[in-house]
Order: sequence, then structure tokens, then C-alpha cells
Amino acid sequence: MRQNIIVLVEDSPADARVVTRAIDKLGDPSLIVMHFDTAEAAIEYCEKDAKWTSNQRQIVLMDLNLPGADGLTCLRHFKSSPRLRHIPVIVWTTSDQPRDIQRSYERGANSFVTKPMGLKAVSEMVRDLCHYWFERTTLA
Amino acid sequence: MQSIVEYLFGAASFMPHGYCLLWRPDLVALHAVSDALIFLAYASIPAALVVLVRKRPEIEHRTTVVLFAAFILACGLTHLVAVFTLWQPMYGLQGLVKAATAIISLLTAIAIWPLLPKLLKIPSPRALQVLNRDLENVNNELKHEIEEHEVTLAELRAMRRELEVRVEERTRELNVAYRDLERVNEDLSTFVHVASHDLKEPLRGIRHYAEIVADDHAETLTEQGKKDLNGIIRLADRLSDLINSLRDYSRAGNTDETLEDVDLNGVLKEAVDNLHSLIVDSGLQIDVPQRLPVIHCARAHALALMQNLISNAATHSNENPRVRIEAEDGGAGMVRIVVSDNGPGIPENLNEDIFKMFRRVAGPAKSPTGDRSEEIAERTTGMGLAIVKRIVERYNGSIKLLPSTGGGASFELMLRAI
Ligand SMILES: [Mg+2]
Repeated sequence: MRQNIIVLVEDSPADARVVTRAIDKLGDPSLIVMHFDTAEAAIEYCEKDAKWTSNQRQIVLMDLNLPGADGLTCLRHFKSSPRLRHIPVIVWTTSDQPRDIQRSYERGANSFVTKPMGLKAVSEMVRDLCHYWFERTTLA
Repeated sequence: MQSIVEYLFGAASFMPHGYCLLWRPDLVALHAVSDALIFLAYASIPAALVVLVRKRPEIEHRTTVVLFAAFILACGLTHLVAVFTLWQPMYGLQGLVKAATAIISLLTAIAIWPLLPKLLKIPSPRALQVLNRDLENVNNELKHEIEEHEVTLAELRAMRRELEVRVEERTRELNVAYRDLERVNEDLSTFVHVASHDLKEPLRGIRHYAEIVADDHAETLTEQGKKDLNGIIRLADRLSDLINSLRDYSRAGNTDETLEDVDLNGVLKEAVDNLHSLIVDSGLQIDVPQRLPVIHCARAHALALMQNLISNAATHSNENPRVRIEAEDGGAGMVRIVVSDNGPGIPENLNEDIFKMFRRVAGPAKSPTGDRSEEIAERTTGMGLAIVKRIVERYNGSIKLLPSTGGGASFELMLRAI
């Protein structure tokens, strides 16, 4: 069976909870959330531990403001790693600063999303993202 | 030849002059010595004149002086010849010398008369002395004046140097103050950016947890419990709005954004899109009788300006809120934009306060729909007009409340045209 993996890099427990809950509420058994609260942990896992098979596809949903290595650093790592650079990285952050948007895309972000306020808005955003990346597009 | 010599020196035919004196030794000696001394004197005078003319090139009428010298010398020669004629009868030569003397004397006599008026005009040394003294006095006065001027000039130069130093100092101080101000501004906007970011994250958490509880425990919660959770959510939203408006206020003063020609008609459309839910909820009607102008500013500022003016009208108006946006030439390169609503208006005594931060004027009287208008009024942060004012002033424009003409509030904005 096909598995759609969402690598969630998010240090805020509340935001992680909302995203995880929204995906659970979608009731789609193919959706799997792997949550890391630092960029380092996410990179460590994706580079070394993950044993991804051909029936698994991944997207990364990444916060910019992280303790330790920040989102932009993590983004640069993902986009320069031969093993990971095919994976779409969606930056999601509270920021709507033009500078952050510019820098994210310059470092290879595949989308830039400002975190919405409200459970409903977050749920809709998560639903739309999953739908777009796993249903509408073809991933490598 | 023989006869010319004879004529000149007459050796044979005449007697020397001494005979006339009967060779009396005293008389002969008197004549001889006197004539010889006269000759010496008459020879020395022209020599002196020649030296004088040579050494003083400025002396005028030089020819006359030379003529005078020749005349005296000729007279001297007649006396010399007279010495010789005492013993030798050279009367021919003596006659020729006298004739030459006569000619030179005549020439001199002729030359001297026309010269006389000119010579008379030459001031006497005494007069020259007086003149000289006068000149010296004038000269001294001039010197004195020049000295005074030099002193004044030096004083002026010193003053100028002092002024230059002072201007430099003041410029330095201003530069330092300006840099300080810029740094403070930068610090403030960085602070507001970071603070709004860091404050909003836990705030999102509070709201989302409250929503999760309300959602997941909908069956077990009492009505009061649900209401209370709703209260938390609403307060979180309100706090979020306040944080956003603080951030917007900080951005309103930004000077590092790119300036462009911004068509306010497009900006109005975008503002209406962004405020869609507020406009629908409040039922706000927007009238724009003529096309709006193009202004030169940062697009984000134009958008914030329009959004805040519209939401101000939407949140402060009555049952059927309306806002009218009119623009006209304001003269002196400005455009005048008047934004009027049909709300309760603003009391005269508050017209300064409304542009201050976090100032909210009492909302409209409670309407029959009650909750809804209260909810809309709660969406205002009291920052809207402060943000508008900050943007307008950022571009050296102005905003003021126009005197009320029967209900509603009218704001006049003066903005620089492109
Ligand atoms: Mg974060």
C-alpha cells in the first residue's frame, strides 16, 4: 500500500499538535506524520535512519523559526543533499515578511505558506497541501 | 690761406690790446686775471649744467638748458680770447667768437621767452612742500583707513572661521542625532517584528488548544464551558489583531521600501478583497464617484492606508454603513482625498485624540442586531487612524478631520501626487 509521509519540522508543540490533529481528522490511512522539533533531528533521520521504499513518497513541512539550526539552514541542507533534494519542502511560518519569502524561495523552497490562525484555517491548509502534493502532482 | 691766418690772428698789421693799456702792468694783470677767472667760471657753469641734465633725466626743456650751457660757454670763450688779445692782436678770431656768442645768445634769448610761462607754472619748492605735506596727510589718512579695513577684514575672517566651525559642529551633532534616530527606528522596527512574531506563536497555541478542547469535548462541555472557551478564542483573536496593528504601525514608518507610482483604484480593489469578510459582515457600501488618482509611494503603504480607512468606516458606522471616497486636485502638487462615512461622527473635543495609538471612540448605539455590531466593533484596535496618519506623514502629507456637516465623519488627506 502507498504511504504519503509528511516530515513535520516544528518546534512549537501547539502547532505540531494542530497539524497532526488536522491530518488525523482527514481519516486517510496513507498519510503518515513524522514530527521533529529541531532541524538537526529531521536531517539526521532523513539522511541516515529513513529506509524509504518505492511505495513511499515524502514532503517536508518546515517552520522557519527553530532552535539551533533555523529553517533556512535546514532548507539549504535538504536542497544540496543528493539523497534529499528531490523532496518538496514547504516552508510554513508565522512570518509574512517579504525578506523571509524571498530567501526561502532563493534557497529552493517549493512553497511558502503563512501559518493561518484558527483550527479550521489550519485544517483547510493541511488538507489542501496534502491534496496538492500527493494527489495532484507526481512526486519523484 | 696766408690772408685768412692774418685776418684771424692779424700778427703784423695790428697792435695787441696791451698797447691801449700802455702796458701798465697793474692794468694788464687786472684784465688778464679777471678775464681768465671769468672764463674759468663760465666754463664750469655749463659743465655743471651738463652733469645736471645727464643725472636728472626727468628735467624738462633739456634743449633750452643745453642752449643755455652753450651760451655761457661762448661768453666764457670771448673772455678767454680777450686774455690773448692783450698780447696778440687776434681781433679777427675775437670777432668771430663774439659773433658766435651773439648767435647763441640770441637763440637762447628767443628760446627763453616762450618757455617763461611754463617755467612760471612750475610750483615753487615751498608750494611743493605744502602740497607734499597735504599729500602726506591724505596718504596717512588712507593708510589709517586701510589699517582699519584690515582689522575689520581680519575680524570678519575670524568670525567666518568661527561660524564655519560652529556649522561643522552643528552638522556633526545633527548627523549623530540622525544616526541615533535611525538606529532607534531600526531597533524599534526590529523589536516590533521579533516581538510580534514571538508573541503570536504562543497566542496561536492558546487559541488552537481552546478550539481543540471545544471541538473534541463538545458533548461533555456545559453551555457555560463552551461560552468561556469561546471567550478565550475571541480574546486571542483580539490580541492577535492588536499585535498585527502594532506591526502595521511600525511598518507604516518604514523608509526602506521601494517607491513606485501606485494607482489607488487597483489598491482599493485589493483592499476590498482583503477586507471581504468585514465588508460582508458589516454590509458596508463603498461609493467612489470618480476614478482615484495615482500617487507615488510604497505599494504596501497605499494598501495599508486604504484598508485602515475602509475598516475604520465599517467598524464605526450605523446599520447601513456607507463610505464615500472622493479625490481632487489639492494644488501645489498634492491630491486631496476625502473619506466620509455615515457613522455617528466624532465629537469636536476628540478630533486630536483619534489619531493617537490605541484610541477608540465609543461605537455606534446598540443596534437591534446587537451581538453582530458589537462583534464588529470589537475588531477595531484603535490603531487604524494612527497608522493612516503615520503613513501620510511618512510622505510629508497630512490628515485631518473635517468639521462635521450633518452626521458622519469626514477625513481629508493631502498626499503628494506623482
Ligand atoms: Mg517556531
